[in-house]
Parts: sequence; structure tokens; C-alpha cells
Amino acid sequence: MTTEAPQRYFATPALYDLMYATTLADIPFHVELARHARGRALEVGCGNGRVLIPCLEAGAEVDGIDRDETMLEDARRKLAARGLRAQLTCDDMRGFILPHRYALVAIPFSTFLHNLTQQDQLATLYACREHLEPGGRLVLVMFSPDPRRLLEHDGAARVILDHPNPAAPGTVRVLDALLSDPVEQVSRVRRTVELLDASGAKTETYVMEFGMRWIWPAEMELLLHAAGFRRIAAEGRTGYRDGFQPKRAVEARDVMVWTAWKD
Amino acid sequence: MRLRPRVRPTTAVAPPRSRESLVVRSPYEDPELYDLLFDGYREDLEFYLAHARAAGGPVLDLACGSGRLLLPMLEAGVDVEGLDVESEMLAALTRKARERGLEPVLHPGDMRSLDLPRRYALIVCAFNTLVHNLTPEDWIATLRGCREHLAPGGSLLFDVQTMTPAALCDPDGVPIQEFDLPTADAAVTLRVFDTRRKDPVGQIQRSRVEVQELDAAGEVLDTHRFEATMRWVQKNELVLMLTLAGFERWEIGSGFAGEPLGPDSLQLVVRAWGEGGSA
Repeated sequence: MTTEAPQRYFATPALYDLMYATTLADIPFHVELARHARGRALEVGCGNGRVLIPCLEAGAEVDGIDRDETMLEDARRKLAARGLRAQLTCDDMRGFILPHRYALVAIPFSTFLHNLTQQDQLATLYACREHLEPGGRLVLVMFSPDPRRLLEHDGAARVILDHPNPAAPGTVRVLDALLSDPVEQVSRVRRTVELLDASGAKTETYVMEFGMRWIWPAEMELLLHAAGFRRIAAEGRTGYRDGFQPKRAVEARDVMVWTAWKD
Repeated sequence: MRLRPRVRPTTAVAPPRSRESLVVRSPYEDPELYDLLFDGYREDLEFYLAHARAAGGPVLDLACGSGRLLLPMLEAGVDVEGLDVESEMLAALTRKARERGLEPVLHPGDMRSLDLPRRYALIVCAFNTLVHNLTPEDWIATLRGCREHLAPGGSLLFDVQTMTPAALCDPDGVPIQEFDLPTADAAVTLRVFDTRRKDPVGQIQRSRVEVQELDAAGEVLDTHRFEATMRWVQKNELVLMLTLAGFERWEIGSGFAGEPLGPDSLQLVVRAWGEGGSA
């Protein structure tokens, strides 16, 4: 049914926190969603809690699933340190089985794009739909493909993040080199994370690889339709570096937010 | 020297108030203009003709127009019917067929609401016609109609434009000299300019097309202008639409010689089967 995929996420929890220490703009959006869900919420791909923990801190009842047990262990440690509780389950988004039905299922931060085939995409949507209670909604957040950015998929490394190291003096620099198959819409990402000390000298380098499959807006609507959703809405948001602000319509290079309701 | 009497004197219109006022009728409403522009296009003829001959049952030419493919199919003895939404195109096709002693079965109608009595071994929709479906809903309605009009084991065969990231990044609003077309009159060449604007979210391309008739010395004899709006498709998206329309199997390549789909392909050539389909 599903493609072979590594059991581990591409980054360790510590590295993930270093990479995304300054990626915060989408968190208030998810907190509001979870707080206003009329019941229990589920975050698919919760990792070590970047989005999940602020939602719990805001008083929302949120469960999480992730395929990487190491990330979940880190999330559990963080929850315990903050006196928070959540049901965290190690499972695959393409076929998870949980005992609860949810008012909200959310897949933030382009996690859905880790589905590298149409079969995987649909399997994930079916699993999410199965776990919604009637009237519940699925919210998918992902980047909208920008043709200009796709042209940069030439294998050359480009800096995508460069910010102060939250754990030590110095900076964290993240470089991505992408090669893409535009027919299958799959990018192979070779990511380098460099830690630099206060003088700018490189002290540590980590290299990791993962795949992403971009989705055209019209295609995303068809995927939701094919997975059995009837009521579907799309919204555009500015990027994570630009405040994640709502826009009137989805544009190329934006973040797109898809909402689909279970009848 | 001119191929035919002047079709639409674009220079006779009042000075333009807006860009739209320059626009003449689309070639789909104007068989003479259509034939002038496109009747000489033959690249796909052998491909569709071979499939029609091999169909082993009735064939439907969806959006048959003025008969660019349907007439050669009829002449080859294929049991082919045509459907088109433009009655003037069908009238032109009927005239041309009668000149050759042929009486084709033609259905006026919209491809999105196909409702014909027969079931076909093959439905063809050539020459990028499906891009006139401007929404996924229209696409699926058309594909579903085709699916429902296939005989057991029958197939739908079409070519359609797709987009690469590079083509999406081509500058908008700039006239691009597309190609020169020969005409039946060796002394006259058609030079086609296309000014495009693309909406990558809606997958809509708006074209302002200018066609110049050139004589052997390169002098412009006449100019035709029209607008066209089309919606391109992406391969993965098309697979979803075929699935939603009830197709069970498909082959997607590029080009009429069985070329595989590649990163630079701007055309999809698709054959799709309903249940009971076979290669």
C-alpha cells in the first residue's frame, strides 16, 4: 500500500529545535484552531511538540501522532517538565488507528508533503477522515508551489534559515539542495545544518536527506474530493518568515491552508 | 495573394478603446478562419487515424470541429461520429463531407454533458481540446461523460497541454513568436504570435493570439487576432480526475510516437480505459 520510507524523521529532536527555533509564526494559528475546536483535537506529525505544546499550554485537549519514537520521547519529556498531559502515539499518518474521534485533525507545517505518492496522500486523507467525528474538520497547512522556486531545484545548496543559536552563542545555518522530478512533483532534499560559533567559525555540520512531494492547489482540492470530503475551503497565508498572515486568496509561493469538513 | 477572401477585416474596427475591442470572433465560431489556421496541422493525423482504424467498433470524435480528423477517418472507412458545440463548425464539416459524397453523423452538443445513444470503442479528443474545460468540475464532467459512452473494453484517447516549472516562469504579457505554419498555398505562410498571461493557482492561461499571413517576401497580407482561455493540467492531477470520472487504467506519454513523459514535456498523450479495459 505505502512506499518504503525510513522509520526515523530526518532530524534528531535537538537538531529539530535548533533548526526551527525561530519558526513561530504559525503557532498562534494552530493554538486558536485547537482552542476553538468543539472537542478533542489531533495533531498528525506532532514531532517533539513545536505546535502541540503551545496548544496544550493554551488549554486545548490535543492528542498527537508521529512516526518517530525519538521525537515523541522528547515531546513526552517536555510535557512532563511543563506539567502537561497528552495522548501521544507512535504511528504512521498513512494508516493510523486511534480509539478516539476528533473535532479537529490538523497536519501543520507541510508534513502532508512527506507523502511521496498519490496512494500515500490518499491513505493519509482516508485515515484522517476516519478519525473525524461528524462535522469535524481536517486542516492541512503546506506551502504552495512557486514555479520560480521550483526552477532553483538544481542541486545547489541555498541558505534557507540563518538565525541565532538558541542553545549556545553563535548561529544556526540551514542549507537545502534540491533535485526534483517535475512530473511526479517529488523533490529530494539534501539538507545541511551548520552550527557556527560566535566568531562565525563552523563547529558542527549535520547532513540529512528527505523527500517532499509538492501539490498544486487544484490537485489538493481533488485529493480531498477523492478521499470523500465534500465541503472544502482553501485560504492563503503569507510565509512563516512573513508573519503567516491571512490573505484574500491562495497565491503561488504562499502557504495554503486547506480545511475539509466531514459530513 | 490571398488564400481565401478576407475572413474578418480586423483593421476595419474602430480605434481600440480597450485591448478587447481589437478582438475578432474566436476561430471556433469561424470555420474559414479555423481552417486557415489549423486545417494544415497534420502532426497528429496518422496517430489518431491509426487508432480509429484499429478501434474495432464505432468511434466518436469529441469536438470534431470542421472535420480536420473526422473527414480523413470517414474516408478511411471508419465508423466515426462527431460532436461539437459550435454549430457553424458542424455546418462547415457537413458541407465539406457532402463535397466528397460523405454523410457523417454529427451531434451538436457540449462535451461536458455528453448524452448520445451509442457506445464507442474509441473516443478521441485531439489537438488540446480538453483545455477548454476551465475548471476541474468541467474536466471531470467531460471525462465522466466519455467514460459512460465507452463500450466494454473501449478507450478514450486525447492529447492535452501540461506545464513545466520553466514554462510557468516564461514572462507574461510578452508576444512570443510561436511558429510558422505552411498553408495549402505555398506562397503564403502563417506566422503565429501568442501573448500569454498565466494564473498558476487556477492553472489558467489567457492568450491573445495574432496570426499574420505572410507572402513569400515576408510582407504581411492580413492579420487575425483572437483571444483564447485554457486550463492546463498536471499529470498527477489528471490521474485524480480520471479516477474520479470512473476510469480504471491509463497510459500517459508525450508525443505521438510513444515518447515517455519527461521533465520538459509540455504535452500529455493519454489513453484511458474504463472497466474491462485492455492494453
